[in-house]
Amino acid sequence: MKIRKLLTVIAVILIIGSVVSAAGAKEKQAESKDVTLTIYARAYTFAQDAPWVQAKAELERRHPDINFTFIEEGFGWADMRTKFLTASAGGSPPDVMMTDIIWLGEFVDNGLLTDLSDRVAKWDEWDDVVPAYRDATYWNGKVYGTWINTDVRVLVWNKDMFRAVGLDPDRPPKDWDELKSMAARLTKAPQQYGFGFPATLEDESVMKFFINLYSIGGQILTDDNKKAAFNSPEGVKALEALIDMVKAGSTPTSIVSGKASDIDNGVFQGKFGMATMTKAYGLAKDLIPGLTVEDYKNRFGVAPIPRAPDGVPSTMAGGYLLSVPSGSKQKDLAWELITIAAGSELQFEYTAARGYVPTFTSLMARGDDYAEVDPFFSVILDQLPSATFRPAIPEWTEISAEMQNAVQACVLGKYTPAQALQIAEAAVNKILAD
Amino acid sequence: MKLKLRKEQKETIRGYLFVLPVVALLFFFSFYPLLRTVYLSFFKVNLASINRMSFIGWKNYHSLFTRPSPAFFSQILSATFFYVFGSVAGQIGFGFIVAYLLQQKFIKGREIFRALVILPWVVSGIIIAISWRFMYEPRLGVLNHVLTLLGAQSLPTWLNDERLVMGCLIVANIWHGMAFSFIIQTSGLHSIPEDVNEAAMVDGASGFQRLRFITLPLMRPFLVLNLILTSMATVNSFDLIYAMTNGGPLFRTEVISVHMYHRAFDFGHLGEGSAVATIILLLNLVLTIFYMRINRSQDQGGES
Repeated sequence: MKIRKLLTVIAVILIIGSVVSAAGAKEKQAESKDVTLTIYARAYTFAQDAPWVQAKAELERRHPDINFTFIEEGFGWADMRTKFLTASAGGSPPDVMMTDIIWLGEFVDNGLLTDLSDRVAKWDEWDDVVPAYRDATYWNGKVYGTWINTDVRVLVWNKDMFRAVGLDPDRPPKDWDELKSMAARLTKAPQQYGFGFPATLEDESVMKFFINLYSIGGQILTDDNKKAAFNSPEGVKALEALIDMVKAGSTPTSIVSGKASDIDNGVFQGKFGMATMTKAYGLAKDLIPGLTVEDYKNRFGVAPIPRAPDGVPSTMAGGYLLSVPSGSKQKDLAWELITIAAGSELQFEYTAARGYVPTFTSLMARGDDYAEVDPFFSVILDQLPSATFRPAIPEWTEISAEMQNAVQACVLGKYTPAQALQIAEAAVNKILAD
Repeated sequence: MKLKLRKEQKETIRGYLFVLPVVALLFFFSFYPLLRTVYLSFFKVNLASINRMSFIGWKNYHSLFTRPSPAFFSQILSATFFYVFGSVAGQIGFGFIVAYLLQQKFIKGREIFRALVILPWVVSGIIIAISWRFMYEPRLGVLNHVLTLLGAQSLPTWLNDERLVMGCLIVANIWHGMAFSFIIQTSGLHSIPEDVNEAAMVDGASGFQRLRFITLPLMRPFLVLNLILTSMATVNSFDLIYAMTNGGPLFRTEVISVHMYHRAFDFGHLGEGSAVATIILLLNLVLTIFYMRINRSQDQGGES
């Protein structure tokens, strides 16, 4: 009898226990939820602590009740746009998109990005964004992302190569004439060339032409972005300045193949004496293991890009916004992740590590902190007033392709700069008219 | 009323039911995308706004054929023709030579050599493209290094030279695809009865005569099959060219498949890309009809 009672008590306890624990589990399940956030970004951004590793950790810290799964997809420049367009067309866009500023018009006009105007208005760091950069995030009066970084092109030269040919390693060329004569002295073909610029079918290839174009007083499109404006006497001179380097043998025709980054890498590998590029410090560190700041200063130099004779200082700016695609199912969390990743704290770490330019007023004032990690940061920062953005219009990718073909045809001697620009002008005007 | 079926009719229905799953799969994964591509080629549709389509008739084809640069007939189709002709001739030619050599009994370790020949075929096209790009690199590449050792003064720039680039691509593609031809030719050579060759030897036929009058005629069905399959694969090939030259320089290697990718995905003109894809489909169709006709004439020749 006693045994039966005991068994009954045990059974009741077990039943009550299981009911209580089941209810508890259900409650716990209700508290914590699973969230997946997909990020499309340049591959190199995932290989360092800032922004993503730290931003993800911070988001997880803020939301202990959420089990986050982060899917990171890293791309090269052109692939990222194609992948985003195909993923959006397939109905499965990411939650966070690293948008090159020149894709903004195309993405927004096709309804692929979320209007973030209300969110940025409530973000306490928005007022700290440099006004010119803040303005650049608008398309048709609305904001569609915030800057993770911007960049400007500078001249980078290899001081060892300068020393080897008797050039002063601390005196870079200041104008096109000096660039031409110094490049000729640095050239010992086919082992090394004085000046490198890409003529591959990439957007970066036309940047060098645009820098020259703005230096001599030309422009890419008319002010209303309705017609080509580059086929002008200034445009011809700007392109001739580049093609003359090829004709003189200071730049090899092999610049038409490979990748634009091969040219940048070539300066740090002793193939090119000089080239214009962004993120020089980040590249140098990637290519030369254990490179110290002192080594970097001793072996390489960074200066403003040589201007046209009697021209103005000029450079081209670019950079990325972090945006929330309109198809994201986690817009609130995606925006929160963006405010952390692109906030001033992580932007400092990210931009300093790679030699990029920050977009916050408070960071611009931290020149000394940047100088500790990139000794030429002040040179980069000084270029901002003379920097121009490419038109972020929806047709840009196609327009750029026509210009890339023009540059390539000149490098290979198929057309003169005047002929190539005339052909490109007709093609660009047709694209804009369509 | 109960429907009464005869035994043969039941068998027929059962047969159709058995093939239905495969037909359904084929329809959804092959025919539907194919028909959809042809359909899209008559619409203005962009990758960035895939749901906003407008019917424009033949306009995509008109733009394709009238664009001055790259010109469809003189640049795209011409590059495609040279690439296909060079690759197919090289792959079949070298595939046959290697298969024939490795058929000879005096060669020791034939199986090892066969495995080595097949190796490039199992490597991804992208890997092969990167390897060959390195071979052709003007400054650090293997080819120019060898030429320098041989005392060459002026070194070619291979992939950057309009005159050389197509040849460079064809060589890389022959190296990649020769193994497929080699496998088909080896099967063909195995199918030739040994006593035919032995009888010819007894009759005093030389090695060349045996090749010319016995091996090649008996290999004809295999060569034709090889020709058609390799032609179709080469017309459709993309990865090697895309990774090696991306169609450049100056559209010299912009074959039709690469052109399709550029129009559809780089520039986002999905309708125009579909028009190019439809033309690729037609090219494949022509090759298929050609193959079927040759096959039929061979069958009829065999029956008579």
